[in-house]
Amino acid sequence: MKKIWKKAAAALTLGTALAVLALGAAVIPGPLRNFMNEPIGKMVSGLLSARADLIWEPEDPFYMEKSWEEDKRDEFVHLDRNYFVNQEQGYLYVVDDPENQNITDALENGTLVYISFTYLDGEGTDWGVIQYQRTSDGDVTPNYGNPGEDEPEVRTGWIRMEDVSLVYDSKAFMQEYAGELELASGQENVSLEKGEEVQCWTYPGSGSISGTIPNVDDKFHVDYLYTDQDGREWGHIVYYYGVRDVWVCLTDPAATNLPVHAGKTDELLPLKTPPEKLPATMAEALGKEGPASGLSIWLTVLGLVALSVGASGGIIWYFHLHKPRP
Amino acid sequence: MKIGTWIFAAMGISLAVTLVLELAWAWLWKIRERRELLLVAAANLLTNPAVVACYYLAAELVLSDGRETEKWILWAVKGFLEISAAAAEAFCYQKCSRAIHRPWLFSISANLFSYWAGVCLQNII
Repeated sequence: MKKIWKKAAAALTLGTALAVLALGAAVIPGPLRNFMNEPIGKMVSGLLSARADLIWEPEDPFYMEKSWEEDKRDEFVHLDRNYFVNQEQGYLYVVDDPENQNITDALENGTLVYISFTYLDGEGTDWGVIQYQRTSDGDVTPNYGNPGEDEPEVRTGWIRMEDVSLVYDSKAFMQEYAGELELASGQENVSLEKGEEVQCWTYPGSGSISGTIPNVDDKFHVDYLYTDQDGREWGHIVYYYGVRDVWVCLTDPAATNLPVHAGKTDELLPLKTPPEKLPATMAEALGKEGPASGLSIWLTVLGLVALSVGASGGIIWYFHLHKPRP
Repeated sequence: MKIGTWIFAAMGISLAVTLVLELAWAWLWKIRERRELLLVAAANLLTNPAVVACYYLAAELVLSDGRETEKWILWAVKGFLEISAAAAEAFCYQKCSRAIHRPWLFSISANLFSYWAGVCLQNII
């Protein structure tokens, strides 16, 4: 009898300890949040998340609800890259969110989109969120404003990542030429004549200037160096007074007409005009029956449960019939 | 919450973790005969997949609008399912086991242990 109560006491103690641990894991963030609201906490937060100010977030309902209301920010991957629509059928469908997948729009091949975040749904499909607007002549351009009453034409939506091709950028360049990049010494600098500005290129040989730097100070810093096929030395800037992820030609920083050696990108597939009447859902567009897809999963689950109940029930019944007599 | 093939992984992981934890608990209770351990495993195989499937079905039906206010319903469903599972397992132990002398106490303590250990593991991971 004493042994039983000892076991019960041990079970209660262990259970309580586990409950406290589990609750602690949930409660601790609360005081931490309170600390972060104090001035010193905000300073700490600012130091730790200096890069957070640079991350633009789309005003998309699904993204905002998951990130802010449900605190599931880690379900999204920050991408921050440009793509162009490149689907075999000549256009892609835009949906309202990766879970409901109601089609809201269609974009033709070649349309440039900026994808800030991606999300992997339960089926393993990778979705990217876009924010865009249509001009008066129907062209689509990325938008970074705030959809709402002031800008009714600005929309957000989700597209399948398999329907787009990457616009060759600095990240792609650094991946392709990783073996030819050298770490900078930190002593690199540029000298400008009066009136000259440093040209910022998307990548060495891109032919595309994304901005300029009017003058440089001692905070000018490059992290990687690259020497191109013409012998020019380039430096990569991670961040400098709002300019980020760009390349400057250290050999000739103010030059605007440097030779172009464009990076490889997917061939643009022929574009087609989307149908006037869009399908209601992505499942319908892909020829799948949406509700049946969920139904088939539930039927499989029911079958597995029936199998486990049947098998275990059989074992338990056998044990009942052959229960050892005391 | 929309159903997807992820539910199969969820059911598999839940069953595997539950079996490990409950068998470990049985071992702590000095239930070490192969027959008795097999009975514990069978009882959990009987209840765990059904409980997990019912929970996610309830989640899909209740949370279709994604509103926070309806989550308390899910807590009640979860509580009901866990109590039912513990009762079913206790009944099996009562009818089939010779080594488990306090089947209801064992079943309740084992289920409490596996539930909270699972929550801890989830928070850690």
